[in-house]
Amino acid sequence: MKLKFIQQTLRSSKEFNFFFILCFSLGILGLILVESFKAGVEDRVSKRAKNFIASDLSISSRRQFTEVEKKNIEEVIKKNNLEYSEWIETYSLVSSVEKAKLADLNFVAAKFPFYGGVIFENGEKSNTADWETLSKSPVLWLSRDLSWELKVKVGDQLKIGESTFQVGKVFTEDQFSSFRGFNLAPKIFLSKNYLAETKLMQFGSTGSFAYLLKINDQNETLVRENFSKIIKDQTIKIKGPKESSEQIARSLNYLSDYLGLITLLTYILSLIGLYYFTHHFLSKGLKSIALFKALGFTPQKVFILNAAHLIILSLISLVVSFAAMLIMVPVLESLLLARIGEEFKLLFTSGVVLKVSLYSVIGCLLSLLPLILGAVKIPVNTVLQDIPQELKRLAFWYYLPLFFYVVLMAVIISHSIKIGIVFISALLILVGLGYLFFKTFSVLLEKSAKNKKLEIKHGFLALSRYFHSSFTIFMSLLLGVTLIVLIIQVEASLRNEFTSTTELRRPDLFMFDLQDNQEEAFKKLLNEQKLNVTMFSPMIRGRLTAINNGAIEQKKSDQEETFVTREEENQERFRTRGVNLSYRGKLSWSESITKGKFFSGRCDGEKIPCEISLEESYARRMNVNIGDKLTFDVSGIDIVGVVTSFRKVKWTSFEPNFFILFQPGLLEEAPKTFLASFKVKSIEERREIFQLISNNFANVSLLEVSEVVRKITEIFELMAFSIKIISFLSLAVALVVVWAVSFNHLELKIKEMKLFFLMGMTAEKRETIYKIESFLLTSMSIGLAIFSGTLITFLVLSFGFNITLEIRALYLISFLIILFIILNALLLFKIRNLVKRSEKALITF
Amino acid sequence: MKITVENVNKSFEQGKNKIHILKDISLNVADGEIVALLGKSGSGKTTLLSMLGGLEKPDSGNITIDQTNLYNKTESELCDWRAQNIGIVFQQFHLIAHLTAKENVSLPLEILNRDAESEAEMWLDKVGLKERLTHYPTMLSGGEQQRVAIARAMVSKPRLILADEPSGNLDVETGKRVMDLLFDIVKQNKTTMVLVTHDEELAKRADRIVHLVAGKCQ
Amino acid sequence: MKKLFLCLSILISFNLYAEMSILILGDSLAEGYGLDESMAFPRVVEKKLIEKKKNVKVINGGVSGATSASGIQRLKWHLKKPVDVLLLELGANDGLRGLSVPDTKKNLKEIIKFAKEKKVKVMLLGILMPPNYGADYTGQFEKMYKDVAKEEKVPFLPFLLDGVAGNAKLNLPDGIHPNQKGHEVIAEKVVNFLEKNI
Repeated sequence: MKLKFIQQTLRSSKEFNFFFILCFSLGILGLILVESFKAGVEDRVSKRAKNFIASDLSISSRRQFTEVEKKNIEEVIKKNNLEYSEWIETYSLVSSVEKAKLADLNFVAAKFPFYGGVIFENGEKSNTADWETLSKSPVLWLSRDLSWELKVKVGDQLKIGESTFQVGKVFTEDQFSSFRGFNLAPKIFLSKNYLAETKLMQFGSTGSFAYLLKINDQNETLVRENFSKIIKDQTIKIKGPKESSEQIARSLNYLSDYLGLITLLTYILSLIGLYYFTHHFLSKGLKSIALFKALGFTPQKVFILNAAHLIILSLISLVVSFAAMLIMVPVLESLLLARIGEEFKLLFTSGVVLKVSLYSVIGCLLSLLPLILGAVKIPVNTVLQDIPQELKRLAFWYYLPLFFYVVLMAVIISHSIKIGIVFISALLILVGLGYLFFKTFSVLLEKSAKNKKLEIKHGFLALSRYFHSSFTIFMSLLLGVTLIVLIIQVEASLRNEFTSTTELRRPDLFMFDLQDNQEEAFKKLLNEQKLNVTMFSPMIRGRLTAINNGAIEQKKSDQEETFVTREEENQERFRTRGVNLSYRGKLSWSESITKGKFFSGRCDGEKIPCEISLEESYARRMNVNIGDKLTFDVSGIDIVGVVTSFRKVKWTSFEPNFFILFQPGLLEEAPKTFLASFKVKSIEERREIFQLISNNFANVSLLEVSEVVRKITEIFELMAFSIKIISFLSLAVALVVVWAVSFNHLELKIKEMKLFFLMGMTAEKRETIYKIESFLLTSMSIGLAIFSGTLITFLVLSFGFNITLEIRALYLISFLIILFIILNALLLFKIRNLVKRSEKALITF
Repeated sequence: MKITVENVNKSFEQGKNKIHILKDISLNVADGEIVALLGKSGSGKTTLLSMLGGLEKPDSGNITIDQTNLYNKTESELCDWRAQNIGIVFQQFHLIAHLTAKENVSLPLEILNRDAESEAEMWLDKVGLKERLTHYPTMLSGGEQQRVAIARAMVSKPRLILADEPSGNLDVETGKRVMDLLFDIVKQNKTTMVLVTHDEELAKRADRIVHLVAGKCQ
Repeated sequence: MKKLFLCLSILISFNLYAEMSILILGDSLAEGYGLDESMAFPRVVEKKLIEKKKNVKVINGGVSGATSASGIQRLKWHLKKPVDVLLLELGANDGLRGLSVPDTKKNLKEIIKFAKEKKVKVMLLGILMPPNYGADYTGQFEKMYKDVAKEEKVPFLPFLLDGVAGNAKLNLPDGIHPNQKGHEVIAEKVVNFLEKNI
């Protein structure tokens, strides 16, 4: 019996069903795409990061493991049925017949590596067999740089400690990172089996010792826990790929925050669409609801009938979007393959399906059931009156569950209470401001409509008189376009964070410890050789001793540890440690002022204090504000300065920078060393620089960083690309919702159009009325959205991501103009279509 | 306005079936005459009414109004013609919900680009709604709405009123009073009116009754 | 109590010789890398000497990452104020970076000569390279310090980290830099060395 009624309802509302399913499916599709793309990117990035540690999990220490520790660790390995290898890294002087050079020795055990490898001179990548050979024989592989410096080739002998090894292979690059971050010296790989013979590992030796684990189908969290239980010493680190690099961890967090935010946007957008359609569907269907009640249905039954209708539509939407996804996965994957030249898996798993189904159905029900609840309240006697009825507006608390659910979703999806709440508050503020704006605007329209031409008057009135309906469509458009603006802006700002290091500026070499008395000679060398130095900075060691005359308390050794948290302890310790100072008159390309003003020229030696510019996060940690006076002890002399600005440094620039920057004119006399970074054009030029520096400045150290920088930027680029793709997907959803909502809105005006037609209004005039209305709505919402979108972007970026907003004005404006034109063109098309349709009218309709 | 309907046929397709709704209908209405089309639901009365308003083309046959063939006009000529000559009163009133009573009544004059303000007020006064100028349709009772609709139909002084079950949505008492008003006004202005109804009592008030049975005049 | 202490300290400063200024020119070991300055051995040495009623002031001239090449410039800066004793603690970073041993030797000798010219008493704090640098290099390095001390005729402590290096309990998690306890051990050794040579 009931089923029959549901069937009837379904059959009788084809148009609504179509829009509902379209909008909902798109929303769900957006969610699935974002979710599976996110999982895919995270998987991809962590796979690349796994190369860094050659494993899924590493247990490492800067001292040798004790026998007990070894036994315990190996026991857990056995119990969890894990594969493992070992990796010992240490520095040593290696000598050829001609020379001795410092090298980063990597002694590896069988099965090394589980991920990643090296690229040999001939361009081939190392395979399992290569590593097996290495682990079984007294050969070594060395980096090409080292082979040049030592003047050796394959087959030559090298002395390491007390033992001699034969050069087996020369490699040009390796995918592993160093346990110490940047490498002080070029790498050598050799077998752990021959470590004892070298006699390098004795009491007092330094190095990193690691167990490398491969996790197959074991539960990673559980495995970690098992190890944490047996490892008591805090200096032994258990690290996964994400912890292998601070920059990767940070960027992964950014990425997942951003993707979460986008998911949320897509989600809210589709809810707005659904709410809109359902609202109008129920408004139109009020009469039949009253009729059902008149026929003796209880309100509960009518409620269930309508709810069942919506649930069936939701389920159909789920099926439609999952089916669409199944078709899209291979297409998207091949597109991605073409773009990034690597296999990329969209992780469309059952977990994703379940998660998305749950999110969408609950959200849908919470937002739509109150509407139905309002609808069933229609009085039965309405059946007998022929007056258009309005959907009863429910008190706000009916929507509280939805509100809390959306807040919860915001927090869950963005993985951050802060981002979630900032976002939701911004949306609420936007709705409030939108209301004020629209109310004012419609009052103005109402007033000015009076003496206007017929079509203008009715265009205005169509908007101002249907306040509730116009406001809903205005809000849908406003939110949709605001989100579009937000996506475009956040995407640009965030992607900019990831790709700010242009190829041109990415340093290849770091040089440090150039002495004061070598500065001139170095500058002369630069001029003569025309070397491309991307940064050259003095570095002065000092210690912060006072903030605003208040001496920083140094902890006495006999005092008890009273720190509450680890962070607190770190912060306190951090305050009195040695710091590096520098001075500079100009901002570098990779930094910008976030507060205050940068230095005004040189500091007059007499006119103490000089100005100081602090890196913003350092200032926050030190709890220092603009105007505070800082005193540093620089080699026994007190140097005083006043903080006049905060700087933000692009952490992806790879350019060395300083937390504390002094105005020039004060620190020039202090003992200092210099840092520099180089950009090189070719391997030959790099060799030449190494040669030049070691010949001219024997004490100066040069570090090769291009490899590390390249490895990390590669990941950044993948992330930047993902951000682009997902933003594009989200934009598509937003556009479709905006389109569908505005079409539906026009659809509802058909009755009026028929009347105008019957009264003999010409087609041209009838079109003009709706053109004016559409124009007003789209231009107002798009115009306002530019501001609100930018404002929300600013809030989200500065509170959520703590990055500065890159305003992409030209791009944004042109995008919105195109959106405006396309939207109006589509609406015009729709208006024409409706006007035509309205002419096919009988007198009764 | 003199109306001649000659051998008009009209059929609609409904799914696979073709419904022959008007069969060879001929009808003459004299200038200033009030004709009631009486018939059951589905007898084709509304279709015939739509054709008289230039809203529906016959499949065959002619409709001549004041010697000119209505369906020789272009769409936009038909529009202008309707604006100048036709007033429609509907069963469902069909007032424009977002416009006040006065604005609803002004609309036909505005379409003709004529001064509307005082004319509209005068007409609302005539239908006894002087106090309700700024009320929206939802604030008015059914009878009041229909009076506004009558004022709107008459305001441009059309020569033909098409009324489709004008009392169909009103209770007997109200219906009678509103119909009195309609007939009074139409007669005062010597306007031609074609009235579709299935209410025999109402039909009796017309100058002539035409029975439509299964698409034919009787 | 406070008053008594004040009287006592005034008494001491009047009765004993004038304050002696000791400069420790060094690297991260002297700076106390990763620790409060109060925990680094120069400050602990000062505390211990004052406890022994010696009127001294220790200047911490430690700079993390400093190599012997930077020594001469930094010494000139510090000598703007009077210095009686120089404890030279440089060279470790030279060794860790695998710089050429003869260059380090040249730098150290240059620093010592300059200090002597300025009438500063110089003492040399030696360091050993960890065994993983290979017997050849560690041997050369050890010999270099001995040679410098001999050639310049300065008091010499052969291994500043003796008893600290390699002991996880006395070092920070990086396995290279001493922790607070490690600095205590070092300070004790330096105090003995100072007392023996002044």
